[in-house]
Amino acid sequence: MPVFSIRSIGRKALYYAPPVLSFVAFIIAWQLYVDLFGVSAFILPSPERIVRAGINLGPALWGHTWTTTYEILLGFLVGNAVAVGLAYLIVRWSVAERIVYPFLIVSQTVPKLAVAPLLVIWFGTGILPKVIVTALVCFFPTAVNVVQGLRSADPNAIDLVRLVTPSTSVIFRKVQFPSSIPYFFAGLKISMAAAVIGAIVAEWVGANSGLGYLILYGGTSMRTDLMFVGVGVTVILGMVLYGAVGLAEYLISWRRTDVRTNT
Amino acid sequence: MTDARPGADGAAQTAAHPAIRFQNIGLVYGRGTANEVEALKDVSFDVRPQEFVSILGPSGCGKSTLLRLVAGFLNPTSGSVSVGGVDPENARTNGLLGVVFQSPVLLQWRNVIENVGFLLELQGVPRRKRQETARHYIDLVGLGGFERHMPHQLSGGMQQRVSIARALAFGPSVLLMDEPFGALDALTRDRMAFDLLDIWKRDKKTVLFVTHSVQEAVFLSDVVIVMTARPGKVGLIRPIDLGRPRTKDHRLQMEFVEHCRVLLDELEADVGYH
Repeated sequence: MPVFSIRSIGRKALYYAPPVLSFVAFIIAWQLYVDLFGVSAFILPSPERIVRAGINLGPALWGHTWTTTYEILLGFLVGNAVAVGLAYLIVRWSVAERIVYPFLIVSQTVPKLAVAPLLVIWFGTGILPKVIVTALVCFFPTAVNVVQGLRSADPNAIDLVRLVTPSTSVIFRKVQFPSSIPYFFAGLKISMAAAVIGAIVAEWVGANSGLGYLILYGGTSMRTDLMFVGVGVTVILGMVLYGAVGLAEYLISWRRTDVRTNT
Repeated sequence: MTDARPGADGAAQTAAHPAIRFQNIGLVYGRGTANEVEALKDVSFDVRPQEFVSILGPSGCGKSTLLRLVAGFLNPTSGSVSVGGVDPENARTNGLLGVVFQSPVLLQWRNVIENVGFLLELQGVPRRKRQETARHYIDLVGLGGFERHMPHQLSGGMQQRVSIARALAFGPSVLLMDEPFGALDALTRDRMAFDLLDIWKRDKKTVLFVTHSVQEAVFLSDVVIVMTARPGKVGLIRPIDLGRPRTKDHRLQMEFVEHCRVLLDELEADVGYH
């Protein structure tokens, strides 16, 4: 059957229609509520007003979006690189597990919003403290999932390798590492969702650009519509980035149905 | 325990080393602790080259442990194991040993041909040669045409065939099979038994086969060894003189039934049913 047959398009439309239509209905209801009841734009701006505020920002909005995207991506990259490295150490050496795990848990229990001002004192209002906060919230879900993934390797499969070679690095490359891939992506997805929040929160503490800064600015200058613009773009950005991780998973990872992961 | 088979200590044995020799094997877990468990006690028997030997026994009698000893994944507390006259570690690194587990243990991210060629790949066999060998054994286990399928697309029986093909492609002289058909339904299990005998006849391997099923053991084997539990000991070594090739008719013969009865008696004596 051709991919784009009328029937398959019809089926897809039927599948996606309910969520899309209900979203559209929600926006319309919002608009009508604001218009009919004359709600003040300060309390709740209408969708139309929010979109106009966004358009009026013009290139500045792109600037804010790009700043935040850059922080997220950089923090995501650094956090996950550290996570994978730590996970490897933890699985490889039991001493490393005892040393690293307490730090892992402390890093998660430390309130990020409280630490962010400290980071601003140390590293200024540039991009660095944002990247650090983002990396901090990113790495935990990935580390935990990769540790579990590396340990999910079938011991019999490891014995199988040992029929040929006792090399632990071969066992790692051929069995443990590939076994961990689905877990890795499960971790990455949670990590990406967390990264967006991390970057926004970090911007709140001290920044002069970024979507978090825009939301904060909107709040302090009584521009509720700007706050909504910031939140809206953040949501879209988060969805796009999350989708990108999902796409990477689809392209790279082998799929299994019986994988259980930490969420 | 002495080997009751005719000629076991005679001329046939002097010509070559036994394929596998267990000599007064003892295995104690957690020695010197409160949880000390004697898993195996004074286990001795030989498996001759190209012989099909099954080990029968209740759960926890150390059947699978015996296989791990042969593969050198485990060392006995006392006694010695040799494979073709060398110690297990040596035998293993020389590629003398193939293993089939109860579960297929396929690498989920590799297709059938890549799974079958996996051990050859680890040995550094070039890709083309490896694929050729893998194809041969995929055909042999009756999976021709499924080379590019992923493991999850195959039934349990087919997956186990892939794992048998993988063990064979490695070219071992000794095949260790740990309840390989244990997880399969009765019909599939039956077919696999026939196919395994075909392969065994063609490929001329020594097989050490662990199973729970008395009928399966008798049907497949030249010799069946009954283990008793706690500690695992050899209870009975029974040659199965049914003639080959084995067919469905063998199972209806009086001798077949008699073998089963004797083995079952030995098993039940240990468990204490009577």
